[in-house]
Amino acid sequence: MGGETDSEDVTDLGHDASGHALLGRFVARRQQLLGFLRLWLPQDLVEDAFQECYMIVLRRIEDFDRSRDFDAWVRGIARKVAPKICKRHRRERPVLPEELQERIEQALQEQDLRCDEDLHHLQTCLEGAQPRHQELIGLRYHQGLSLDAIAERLHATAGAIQVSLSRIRAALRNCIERRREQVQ
Amino acid sequence: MKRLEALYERLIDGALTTAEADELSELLADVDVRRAWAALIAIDGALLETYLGDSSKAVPVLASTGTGVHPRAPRKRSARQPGHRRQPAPRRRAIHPAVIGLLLVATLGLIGGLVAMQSRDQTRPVLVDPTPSTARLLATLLEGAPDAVVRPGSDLDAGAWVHGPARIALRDGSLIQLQAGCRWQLQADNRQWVALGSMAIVAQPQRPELPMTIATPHAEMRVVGTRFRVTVEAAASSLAVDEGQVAWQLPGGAVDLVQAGGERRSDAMPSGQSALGAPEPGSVEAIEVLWSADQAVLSGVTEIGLDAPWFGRAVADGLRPAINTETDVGQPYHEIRVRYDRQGVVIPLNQIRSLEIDLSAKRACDIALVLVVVNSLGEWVTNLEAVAPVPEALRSHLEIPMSAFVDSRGGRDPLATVQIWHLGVGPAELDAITVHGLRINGVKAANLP
Repeated sequence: MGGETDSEDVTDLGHDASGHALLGRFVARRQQLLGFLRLWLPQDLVEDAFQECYMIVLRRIEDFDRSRDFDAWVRGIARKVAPKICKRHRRERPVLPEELQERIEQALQEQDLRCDEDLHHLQTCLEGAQPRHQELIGLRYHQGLSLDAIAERLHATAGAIQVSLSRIRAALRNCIERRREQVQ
Repeated sequence: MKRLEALYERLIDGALTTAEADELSELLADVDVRRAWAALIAIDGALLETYLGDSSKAVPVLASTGTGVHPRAPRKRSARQPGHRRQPAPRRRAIHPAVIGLLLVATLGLIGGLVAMQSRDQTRPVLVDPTPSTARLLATLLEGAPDAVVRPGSDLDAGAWVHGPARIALRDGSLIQLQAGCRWQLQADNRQWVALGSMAIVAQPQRPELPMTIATPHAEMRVVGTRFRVTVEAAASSLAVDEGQVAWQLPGGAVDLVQAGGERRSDAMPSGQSALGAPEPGSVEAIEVLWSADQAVLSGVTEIGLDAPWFGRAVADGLRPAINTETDVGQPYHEIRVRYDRQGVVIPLNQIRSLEIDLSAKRACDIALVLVVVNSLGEWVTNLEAVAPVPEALRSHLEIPMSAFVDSRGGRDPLATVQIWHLGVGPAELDAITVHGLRINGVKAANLP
């Protein structure tokens, strides 16, 4: 297929080039939005929320003020989508105080984009992780179990599980960083 | 930072107290803490991305000692040779195993709820025509999921699919409750088809000559005025009779009359044995209900025959556009262009497991399936191509795994997305193919337009 023909197809979607770039950015930053949505939603609803955010972004992309921070705009949408998804699924999550919401947003606006975790490196690092660490990560991120539930399964305390998860994340971050440096 | 991570875990567990929220807010006043916080979200997002939507990343089964089988390594895409062809999966008559895995639900408590529901239901629909085989509208959906295609209050015709949770009143006054995830179809002649999931029934006394029949992929049950529950799992169906009696029959087996208090469970069907009364693929709308769990269903398909001037090497089979930007020789190529009925659904490539197509063919022929892949800037990257033989048939159902698609340029960007799907056909076949529906499996479709 020739590139020209495909460019026409893409244009058929009704967005200008800037809109396409922003939609591309949305998809490219998927994991960041997943992480953000996880703050507001049970894990099993995160994917639904992501899809709903995408549809809203798609509909409103032309209204987006290009001078603003696109990621912040998307997070604003996500914050509105999250409680609706919870309500739809009859799940309850505590509402976070406004001040905390602002601080979280501030943290993400200040975020160094270089701390985006490279998925390829992460997968390699996961493969090399200790079996016990793989178990914990699987329970937390695949099954979406709470700390208490994991602790019960493993006959440990929630505090011990939390410390383990913290160490695993740190180990993964270090591994990713090492692999990045090797590639460079 | 230890305290920060502890609070983070509490937050994502939905367990953060007001005092802890205040504490977290104070901690985040520090710029270093905010940086650590953002890093936490980043690594968690990456882990979520790794695990969400990929059932191949099995979680180890944990023994009580905490030791277990290692999780499978994250799936890597295997390299594919250009020109390599794989046959599509055989035609399927029931439901995708991946969906099946998602939808097993418990039935406990349903009967009590149904009885209460029946006693308080003051708006039971008027039963105009008690002859199910000739009546057009056979049931009314009383309650359904808010985002279901079939709306509460809708009359249901034979062939209608309802996706639980839902509550349905049949014309004879029988009440049906579908648990979440249950896939149920109303059929003619007082038959119901349950593809998967759990349902409970409070049945009115049935006419002996045409009793209510519940068919599943593994068994068939005929009702004689009763209360009972049916559960359909991937490999078996089960029946529990609370009142009255139900005639239970396995494919090719004798009728077994199950009395109140009795239970039956089918064994897995032998390979190749067909399900009882499994419905043929229905309309796009019906399929949409059935498949809405984790598939994108493309409806309102538009077909356009084009003679597109592809640039590249000579195309021997007339099906696939050859990609070679080093040449500028135009090649004729005939395509059926398939679009979403709403614009702009973009599906991450790494979320797709397989693609399916329902189509009719006046003649047996080959078709080429071409996925257009764009990068995060919306620019064309490559095409993924597969060729599938299509039999002459009024309706064919093909499933093509992503592994069958050959990348015309080599290499895949995990962040790339699929925007458009073309079917390529030979010049003589352009008018022979009619596309009824397309599905992209492996992505959540509940919120797609």
